[in-house]
Amino acid sequence: MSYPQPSADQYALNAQQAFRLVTQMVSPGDIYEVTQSGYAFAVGPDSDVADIKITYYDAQSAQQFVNQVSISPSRAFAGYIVAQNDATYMPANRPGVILMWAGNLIPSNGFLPTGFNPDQDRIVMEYPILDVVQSFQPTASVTSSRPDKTWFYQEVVIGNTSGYVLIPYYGRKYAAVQLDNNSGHDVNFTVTGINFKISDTAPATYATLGTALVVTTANTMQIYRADTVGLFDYLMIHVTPTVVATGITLKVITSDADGCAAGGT
Amino acid sequence: MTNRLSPLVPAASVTGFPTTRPNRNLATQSSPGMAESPVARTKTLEGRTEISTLNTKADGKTYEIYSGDREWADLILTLRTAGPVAVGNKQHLGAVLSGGGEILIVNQPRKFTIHKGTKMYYAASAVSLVSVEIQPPPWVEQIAAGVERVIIALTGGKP
Repeated sequence: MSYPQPSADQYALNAQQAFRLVTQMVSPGDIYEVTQSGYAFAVGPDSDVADIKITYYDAQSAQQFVNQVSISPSRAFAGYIVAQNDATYMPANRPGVILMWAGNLIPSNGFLPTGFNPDQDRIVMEYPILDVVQSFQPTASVTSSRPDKTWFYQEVVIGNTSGYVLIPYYGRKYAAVQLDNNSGHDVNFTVTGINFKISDTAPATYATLGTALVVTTANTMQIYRADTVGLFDYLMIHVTPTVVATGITLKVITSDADGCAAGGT
Repeated sequence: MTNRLSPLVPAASVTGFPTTRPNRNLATQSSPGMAESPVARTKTLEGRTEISTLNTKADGKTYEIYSGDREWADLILTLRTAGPVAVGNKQHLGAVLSGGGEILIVNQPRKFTIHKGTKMYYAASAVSLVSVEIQPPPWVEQIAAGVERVIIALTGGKP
């Protein structure tokens, strides 16, 4: 989480009509406070987090005065939510600000996948971006949708035994994974879907989505759709050259669209 | 900003500072509960229009917007952000959503015609922008113009 977190008050005082919270998450416990009321809330375009919780003060909610709404890339929220800074949540006795946080499970800082060898392997861990847009003006409707996101890595292994790339995949329904092998040697590569758990002893579930052997100077494009492989928190691409090498390039495109033609399956 | 009531206005007031400026202190730079002294007072008919932006405090306490120093004034308040902001003439509006004041609606100007001595206050639970316009009611200008014509007729145009 960025610290200090951005203040919505400054956006209001600067006569901007909306507040956009964009921050990288590095801990499952990251919660953001917003002291401004809002007329609409939507998932921002750069958000990797697909399930965003908006928690707010509600005097009619029994005992703790807390209520909550979820927004996602397919469902924004158009409605007036008041930041009651002069009221307090109970029993915490904290101001009744609006709280924003990720409903998806975020990998803890320092997460390493099963099989990773820190002495031999290289890892690129992309921590998810939380992006929320909050409007200060009444609006009849809001559409929140995420554009496709492209991840590009010029070198995946760089002389290590193998390379891991972990990419947030929350709510995504389509992935195109392209590997270009200019290493001079054959390369094995595996794509795995990861779902995290709230557990210290069994932290994640791994599902192998596909494997391929890419001979030198060749490339491969693997397509994964949610309707055939399922939904995952993260995609993990594991690249293992037969000989320690460089020159292995990876490009991954993730999308909220299912990648099917209209009416297709 | 020509003061058409100048024959009736003491010189000290004409040359003084604007008199009915609202409390413009930044909410983020002020300590809660410390409403600053809003303005100097005047005892004259005021013909000017004053426009400003109020940055509210967010502690839910009551602060003064307008000191009621004009004989008559139209006070027009427009909430520019999401609020909530309550306004009213009670010195203690209570909690913002308690009904002690009137809740401003975003982008909908709210005009109050106020007689001298009536102060206006606000309470907000979020830092908000409120456009403030203080102007004489239109009929004040007509009355003043009539008085001015009478004075001119009586004095032959001499001050």
